[in-house]
Amino acid sequence: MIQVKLIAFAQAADSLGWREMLVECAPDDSPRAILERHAPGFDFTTARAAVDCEYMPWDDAVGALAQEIAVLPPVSGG
Amino acid sequence: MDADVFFTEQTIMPPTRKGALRETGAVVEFRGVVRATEGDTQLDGLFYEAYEPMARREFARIISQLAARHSPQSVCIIHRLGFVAVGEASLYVRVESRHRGQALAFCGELIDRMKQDVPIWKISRPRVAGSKPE
Repeated sequence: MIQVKLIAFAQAADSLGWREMLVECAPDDSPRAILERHAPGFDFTTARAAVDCEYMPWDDAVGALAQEIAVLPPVSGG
Repeated sequence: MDADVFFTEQTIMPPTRKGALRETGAVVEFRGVVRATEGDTQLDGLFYEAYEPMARREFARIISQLAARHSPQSVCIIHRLGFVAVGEASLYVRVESRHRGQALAFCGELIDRMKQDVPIWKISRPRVAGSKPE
């Protein structure tokens, strides 16, 4: 098992009700599986995942070196 | 090529150019400014939030990809964070290049790509009853 930081931003943080939490997971867990364990019912429709500051498909394995998994709603800078 | 990316909670103050290059033929500056309305909603301003380390990496990736096509001489990006009042700039981009087409194309494409991939978010702040419209 590894320990990773789950972080959420903007509307994703609002809907989840938290911005950051430490969780344990297996290296072959996907961001989707990890988030579903800690936020059942989360709507993945428009959100994207990033692992250690790189976009990653929700269903890929996070890997043994993962430290931070971000939940990112649609971006709107500018 | 020089490329600088800054985030600030203060009013945007563009840095002076690093030295006028004799081969620079175009300096394009863009400011994105907060509008007073969004749809039918009157605003006091917008609140900006970023996943800053990833935003820096995404800007670097986009700048590198666009530089391969448009060969700018320098790029400077400043994005506000926190509350930005109506009428203030939330984004500043300056691109220098030999020819105007390169700088204009780079600037436009950079902003398009930013709005697709750079993890920055704006949150509307509806105008509070009794506050003065900008």
